[in-house]
Amino acid sequence: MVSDFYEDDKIRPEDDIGSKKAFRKLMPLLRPHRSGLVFCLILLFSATILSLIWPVLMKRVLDVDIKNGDFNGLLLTVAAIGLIQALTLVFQYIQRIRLEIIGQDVMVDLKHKLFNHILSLDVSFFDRNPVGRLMARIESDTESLRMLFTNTVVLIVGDLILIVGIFGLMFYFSWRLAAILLAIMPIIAVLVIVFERITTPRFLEVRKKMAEVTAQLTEFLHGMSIIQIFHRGSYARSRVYRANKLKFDEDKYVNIAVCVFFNTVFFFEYVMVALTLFFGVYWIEQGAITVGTIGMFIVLIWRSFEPIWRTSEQLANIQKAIAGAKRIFALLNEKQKLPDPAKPVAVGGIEKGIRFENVSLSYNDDGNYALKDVSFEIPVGRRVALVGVTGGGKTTVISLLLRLYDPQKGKITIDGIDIRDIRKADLRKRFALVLQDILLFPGDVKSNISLESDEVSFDRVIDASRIVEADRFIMRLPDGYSTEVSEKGSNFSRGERQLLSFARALVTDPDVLLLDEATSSVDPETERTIQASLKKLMKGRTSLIIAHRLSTILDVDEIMVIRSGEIIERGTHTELILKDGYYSKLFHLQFKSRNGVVSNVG
Amino acid sequence: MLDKFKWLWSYYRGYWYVLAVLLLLTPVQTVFQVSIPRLIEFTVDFVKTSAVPSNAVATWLAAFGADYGLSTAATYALSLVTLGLCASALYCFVQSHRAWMNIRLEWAFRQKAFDGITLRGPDFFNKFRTGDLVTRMTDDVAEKLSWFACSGMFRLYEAILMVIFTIAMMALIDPMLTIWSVAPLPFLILVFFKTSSLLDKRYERLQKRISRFNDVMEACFSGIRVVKAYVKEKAQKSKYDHAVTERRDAEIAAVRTHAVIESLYMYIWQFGIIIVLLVGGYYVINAGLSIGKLIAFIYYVVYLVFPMFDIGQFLVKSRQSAVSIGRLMELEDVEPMVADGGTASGFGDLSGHIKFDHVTFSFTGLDRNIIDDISMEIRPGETVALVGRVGSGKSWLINMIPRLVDPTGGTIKIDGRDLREMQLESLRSQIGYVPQEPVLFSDTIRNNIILGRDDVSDDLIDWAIDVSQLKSEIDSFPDGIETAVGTRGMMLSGGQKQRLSLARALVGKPRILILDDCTSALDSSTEVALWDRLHEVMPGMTAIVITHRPDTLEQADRIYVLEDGRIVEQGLHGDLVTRDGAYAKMYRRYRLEEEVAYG
Repeated sequence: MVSDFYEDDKIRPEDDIGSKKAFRKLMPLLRPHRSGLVFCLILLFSATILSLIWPVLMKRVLDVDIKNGDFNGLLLTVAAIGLIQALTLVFQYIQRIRLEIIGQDVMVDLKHKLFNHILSLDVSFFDRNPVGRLMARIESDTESLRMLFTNTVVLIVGDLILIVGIFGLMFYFSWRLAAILLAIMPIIAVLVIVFERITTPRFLEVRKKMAEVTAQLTEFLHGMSIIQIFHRGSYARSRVYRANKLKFDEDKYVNIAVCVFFNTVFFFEYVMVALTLFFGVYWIEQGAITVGTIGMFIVLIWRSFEPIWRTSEQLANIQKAIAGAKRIFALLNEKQKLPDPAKPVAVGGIEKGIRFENVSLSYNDDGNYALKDVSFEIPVGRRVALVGVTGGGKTTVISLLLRLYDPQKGKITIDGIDIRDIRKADLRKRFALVLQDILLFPGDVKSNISLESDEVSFDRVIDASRIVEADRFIMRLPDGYSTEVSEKGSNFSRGERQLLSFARALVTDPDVLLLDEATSSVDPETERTIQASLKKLMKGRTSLIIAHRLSTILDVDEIMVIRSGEIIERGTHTELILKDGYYSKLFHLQFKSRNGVVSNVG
Repeated sequence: MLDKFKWLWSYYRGYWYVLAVLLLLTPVQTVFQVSIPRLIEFTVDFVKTSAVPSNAVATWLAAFGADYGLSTAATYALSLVTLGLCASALYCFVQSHRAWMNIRLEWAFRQKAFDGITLRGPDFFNKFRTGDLVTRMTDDVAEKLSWFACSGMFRLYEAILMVIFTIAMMALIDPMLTIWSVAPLPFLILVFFKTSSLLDKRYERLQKRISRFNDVMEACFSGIRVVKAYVKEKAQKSKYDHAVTERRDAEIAAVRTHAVIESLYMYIWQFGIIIVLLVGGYYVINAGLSIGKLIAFIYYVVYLVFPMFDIGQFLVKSRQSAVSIGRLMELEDVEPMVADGGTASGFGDLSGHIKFDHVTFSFTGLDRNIIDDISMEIRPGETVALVGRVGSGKSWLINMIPRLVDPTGGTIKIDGRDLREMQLESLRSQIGYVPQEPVLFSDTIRNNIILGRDDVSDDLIDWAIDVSQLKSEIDSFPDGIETAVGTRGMMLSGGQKQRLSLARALVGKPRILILDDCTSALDSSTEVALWDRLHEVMPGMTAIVITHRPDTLEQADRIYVLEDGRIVEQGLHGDLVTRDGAYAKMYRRYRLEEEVAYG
């Protein structure tokens, strides 16, 4: 019933590559670290072997030193044990740190790759994927993957060495006893396989149920006002209760299965010790083995259960990491829909102008056109404004011009060249966009104006700020241009942020200025400053303005009125007012019937 | 800290059985487990000396086995298996209960938090964003708290018991050797406390780097249009790479410290084994300690280690969990703005006579009134329109009628009774409310209309759909009224959502209908048809409407014009237009808007 709410846990079937393939795809990331990994493996091997020496020395303590009553010999053996253990720990430490560094580096690579890939995707991808989800992919999913990596190497390789080493020792000291103990192993192997088969689908089911709980919570929290007005709290509570209970029921099963499995396995530890003792007693009497051997066998038995212990602690992480890996690769599979041309046309400055030729765009390609058969021309040096109610298609024009989307029909040309034949970066460098939601990045004022471009000198930043009159308030800041911007620029007023975004645009000295004006209101004083700065910004520059405050565009060269994706009127302000059509209505709406309050038409 | 334990404890009430199992069986299980090394001891000593060890249990066991014709070795081995089976089975039982309780508590925490939230007022939702609330009820509850709430606590219990019983068992065998073997223990504790603050610092730094890294990502993704339009991908990438590297360095530093501490930790306890071998060996040689006892001691030293890890883990997780508990308690701390009063009582059908008497409203800490001394009277069957700019207070005014908020001054009466004396459910069940933004749930059309009110008949639903002008559209859907509307109603158009939301209000046969500017997506003719039908089917219903639709305003029985929380004009449309005041200006604007938007 809960649909695609929490897609985070949902991977499109065509992207679901399965656990094994996901691991195989991780392998290439490890290639650059081959020598480091080999080094780690050698250390791991040495540490494991060393750690197996002390049970042998313990046997010596029991069988030789104590038997002979040789306290000096005992002291020597015990000192050797202490030394070997210290050495083991040093080896393990170095191996762990080396492996951690490799793991970190691999994840840095993966994160780098993911980020580059995400940045290369079109804006439509960002429309579909909320910021939080993308961050989760890069941060949480890679983290669980890294933990899996550092632990799996130990898990698989280290534990393999450990098991082989243990049985090697056992066979060396008493092949008969070892053979008996080895016979228990198939039982444990069968248990592991059965457990795996039963619980894997259940683990997935738990995740699904949890996603459903999250979806229900989110939905009802969004709609809480309506729930309260209708006094349907009981309805919301019972729906959440049901999802919650389903999750509990599923989880309960998995949790109990885990308890039963691990305790069954650990019971076999006792069985193995009992077998060792029973047969040991028999063979000791025959003189085939010694008490020390039995002591050593007991130590080795519990060490052979270490891998299973480790797995039991890691179980949840393993499941998480596999799901994370799948989601990461699904994301890397995401294709860029607006590729750069194979043979790009080089463009210098814009000389003639921009043309829209019968352009139509439907965002979801579902016949709902945001722009319908739109044609117009902006010759170099002209200032053109787009006006119309929200949803009319004004912002779409700018998005198309920057090639954030491609139109389904028609084409857009610059100096006669189709923009699809120009590299996106070259195309976009011709423009400067001033957006209505003015977003500042973490960093200082200067870097927010230059957008951290090395090509932009500090002098130019200051010049630009001066021209748009942003320097006045910047100089008043505690650290001037080096003042840090707090989260999303909340330490600046709207007007100040707007001026910063003007400076940001001016500093790039664009051929064309694209302005998507802010809808929300500012006080009259700020409004005047903004208008004045804006005039300076547009002076002598080809500009396309999406105007909400019609006062901005009284003196532009041409106004185009867009409604439902079509241009219905065009001309200068005076012409359009005289025509007494749609524009004049819009204009009256803003100027005549209210007193300086910004209308929500726009 | 104490209040947090109390909070946690309150959830255990009603689970006496589980509590009893955990409290009583954990010691039993521990005793089983610490007995096992002694059987090993008996066996080894039996082999060594070829005589039953001089221990009461050992002799009794051997005699018991002999009765059934078993050799002593076989008896001991079988006893070991039996004891192992009991210990495993019992541990499985205890552990399953812990695991069950973990997720039962997880469920309870989440359900209780959500249940509480459904009763909160708008001030609560102003304070907490949805995402934050969801995180608290999922991530905090499931990832951080669930394990700790039962397993964490009772593993600590188990660990302490294990340490006590193990040391007791060791002392029973050889007190002097016991003192020698537990000698490293104080060092272990010392190392733990000495190093934990250092470790904390390292992880704090890592945490800071992580949030910086997240900030960089968030800013870049939210500002993707700017980044793309200015072709600043490269600058973003280098900034990101820098943050990633910083994060990596911090994490490696943290792991390094962690690994050093852990190695130290391991070495200290391994020293326990070395001491046992050395001192124990000495005792065997010079003081007649049996080899079996020595082996048992080695076992016990190992037994002492795992509890230490559990205790360490408890201390780490308890800090995390305390934060999560605090975050959940925070949700409970907010006093509900609106509650059923002590005198609340049920009542019959309302006639819909509403009277506002010098009503004011403000939030604590706000220095002005959002609603400022409003008095008005609405008679049964009247249709009243509220107009005013954004922020004039009209939405707050209508929110007071179903008591989403209570006035901070003055009274509101319906049929002569103070709202605060009425039972919330009875009151709200007689009010139909249609919000500005339709809120739909990912369910079927039918369930979205009834919202779990099981007393709604199919006929009533059909009627509501019909009045809302939705009938023909719903009939054209393949599954009709059982069609799923998708997440937040994404399968429906804006107008369909608004009318569905109206049908939801109508199906309760309200005496009072409140419409908060909810017909914006309808064209003029649909809107007019809708109103005609409404008046026709529910002539006695009182309607309060926030609107800017000229047609609706013209038909209203009375219009109130609000400005900054006050009524500045009131009267019939015609009168107000001739007065040429605030309303007349607004009306002309609305007309123009209507033409621009729909004309």
